Amino acid sequence: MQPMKTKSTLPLRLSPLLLAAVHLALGLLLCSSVDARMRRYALIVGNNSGAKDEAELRYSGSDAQKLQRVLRGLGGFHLEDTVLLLNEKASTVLRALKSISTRIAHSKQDAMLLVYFSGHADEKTLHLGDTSLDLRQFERLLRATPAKFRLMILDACRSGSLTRVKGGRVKGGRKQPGFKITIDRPLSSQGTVFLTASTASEDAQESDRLRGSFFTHYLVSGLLGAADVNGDGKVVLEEAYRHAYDNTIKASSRTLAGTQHPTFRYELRGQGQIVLTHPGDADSHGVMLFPKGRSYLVIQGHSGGRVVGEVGVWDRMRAISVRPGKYFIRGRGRREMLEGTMTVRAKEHLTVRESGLSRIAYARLVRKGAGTQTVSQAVVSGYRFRTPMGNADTLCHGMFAGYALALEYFSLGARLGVCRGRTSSSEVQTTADELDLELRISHLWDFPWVTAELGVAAASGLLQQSFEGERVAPPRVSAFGQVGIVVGLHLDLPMGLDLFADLAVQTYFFKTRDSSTKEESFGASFALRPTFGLGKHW
Amino acid sequence: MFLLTSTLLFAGLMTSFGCDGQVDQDYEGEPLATMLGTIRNEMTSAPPSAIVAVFWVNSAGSPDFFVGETVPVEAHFPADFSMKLYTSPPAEVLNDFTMGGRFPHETRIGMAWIAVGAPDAQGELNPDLAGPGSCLGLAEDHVLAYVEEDIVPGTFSELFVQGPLKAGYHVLQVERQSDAEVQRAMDCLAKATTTQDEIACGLASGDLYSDAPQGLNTRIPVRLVDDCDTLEPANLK
Repeated sequence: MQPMKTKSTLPLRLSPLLLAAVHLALGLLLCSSVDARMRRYALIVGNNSGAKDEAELRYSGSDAQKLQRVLRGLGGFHLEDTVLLLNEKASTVLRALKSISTRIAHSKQDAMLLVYFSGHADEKTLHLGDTSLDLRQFERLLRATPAKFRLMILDACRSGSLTRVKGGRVKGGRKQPGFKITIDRPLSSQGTVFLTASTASEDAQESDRLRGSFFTHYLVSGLLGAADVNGDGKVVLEEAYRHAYDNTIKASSRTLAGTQHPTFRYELRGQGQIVLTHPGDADSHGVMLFPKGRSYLVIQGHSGGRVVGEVGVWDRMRAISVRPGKYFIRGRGRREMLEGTMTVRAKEHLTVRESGLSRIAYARLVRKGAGTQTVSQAVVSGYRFRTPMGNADTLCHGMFAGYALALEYFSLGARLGVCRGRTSSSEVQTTADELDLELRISHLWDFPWVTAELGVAAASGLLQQSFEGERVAPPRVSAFGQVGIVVGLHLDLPMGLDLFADLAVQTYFFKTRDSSTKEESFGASFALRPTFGLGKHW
Repeated sequence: MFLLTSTLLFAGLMTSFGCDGQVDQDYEGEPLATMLGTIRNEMTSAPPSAIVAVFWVNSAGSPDFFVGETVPVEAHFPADFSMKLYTSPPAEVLNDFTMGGRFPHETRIGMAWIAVGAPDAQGELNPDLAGPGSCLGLAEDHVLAYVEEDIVPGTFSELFVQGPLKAGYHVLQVERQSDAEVQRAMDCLAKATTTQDEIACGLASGDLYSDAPQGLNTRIPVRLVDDCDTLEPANLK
């Protein structure tokens, strides 16, 4: 259904310029008056539990709370007009909807009603624990409310059946892309709009990184200001939907479950835009402005806090409106992250600068489970020495080169090393060489400036003694095995470089010969081996 | 998987090539030979300490005596000793049967007494075993020999040691010639006109040397006496 437009007529002939000015003034007056007259009601439902055979969701409840916060903070929804239901039954939801409908009927103001659901669903019903709510019934009840404008938002699997947008898989299992919604005119202020997080045959996905579902996260981010593409300080419905649509597709395209396509259906008439939030006008909020070139995640308090919103790398409007307080910022690039903490005051416009954030590269990124990389590789080399073991008097000085693989929970390394020690006696000068190949596995802990390492290593190799002097002394070659514990410290440098030092406490096993008895036996020798090196990560 | 396979392969290869035992800081090299002996005390009173020494004797060169390896022994008699010989004797103590290279089929042979001396105040041994009390004893029936190159049969070198010995250290037993045997050899040598004739006549030095039956495993007897002049060492000079 296409929106209908009404035409205005004027009794007097006016100059074109003046005519345009008057028309604009009337239009603005109409828009603002539509906004000002409408009282806003919201029914926000979040259920982590679905049917018995459905896995418990993690973020439906927090998604609902997130939306409630932004609607109350920036959307003009009053506390007494918003109902938040978490993990309630279908009957409770229906009662709440009827109660709001009754209040709207008794109110003398035009009303806007927003109904939101996050949880499990199928093509026909919403799953609220062991109860279910028929989608068609819910739709009918919504239409039956006396609100002038009704907006239903479903963030649930297969919710696209509500908009009858089919996308996803068709017969034969071939995957078809979802529809690209083109909104080429402002949406009017009367009627009903349905927004869904996915098509009728797709799943709606949660993200542990975002600590929420993709669709609601980007919808809320848009309402906070990221969707305000014309920079007028207001986020209207089509801006919010466009923002959520584009970013949900981008984010879900990288997941194993596949791309998720939000859908949209509107039945509208009249004029005037539906303004959902006013991020530019709220005196109770501050605004964070982000530089171009990266996506920035805004998290409340600390890195483990609630995800507030996100500015995407391609978003033209790079501002998020937030309540005063402390926020943890994480800027993501392909191979590095920027992190830092900022405090925003009410009415403050705070510009986030990259120079004020800490840079986290490569291996740290992998260990955080952040970024797009799941592994980080490195080549390493450096200097090392080992304490004497009995086959030489002096320290065994040498070098090593190797390869390291950093995974999220542990790191693997392989190193080839050599070293040389000596013994001098009056009769024979001994040179003791070692060649070894070491494998190690370790866990690393990242701190603000350094990374600590603890691991175990095993190696095998050769020990060779060669002798100089007048006496007959043929070289002696012994194979050895070695096990040890490694502790180390790493310092991240720019350009993917890493300076490190570690200490290995080792036990060597090799054959020895008693000089007086000439008896040979296998024995263990203890050694310490400090290492200093440089790594290059990618 | 690749890293694990490589490491196991590496370990296997290392094990194949590395079977020697590593030696410690006391390692002095591999001895060329080890000489064994037993010292019996026939002195009226046992010496407080003693040193066994190899005395190289150069019959034609200078110096004519050279102290080689030494090993201290505890003054509890009879005392066994073991002396490790790590190096060959210096070239100047070897008896040159090649005559400066003129007889290339010959070789050079070192001959040494096995003697026991008393250390001085600094714990050192008098190099001539001269001076009062410095000589304690001697092996009369055995000498130590060093053959520089394998002895070729039919040479003077073979005649000297009574056999074509291989290069290296040997313990030789001493056999005393009788006066008649010496005279007979001297008479023969007087008539000899060729080197082969001379070899055929044999030695007229008074002592004949031959490889001890047990070779380097021979436990060489050494007597300690009050007066070394009463001993009858081999005539190496």
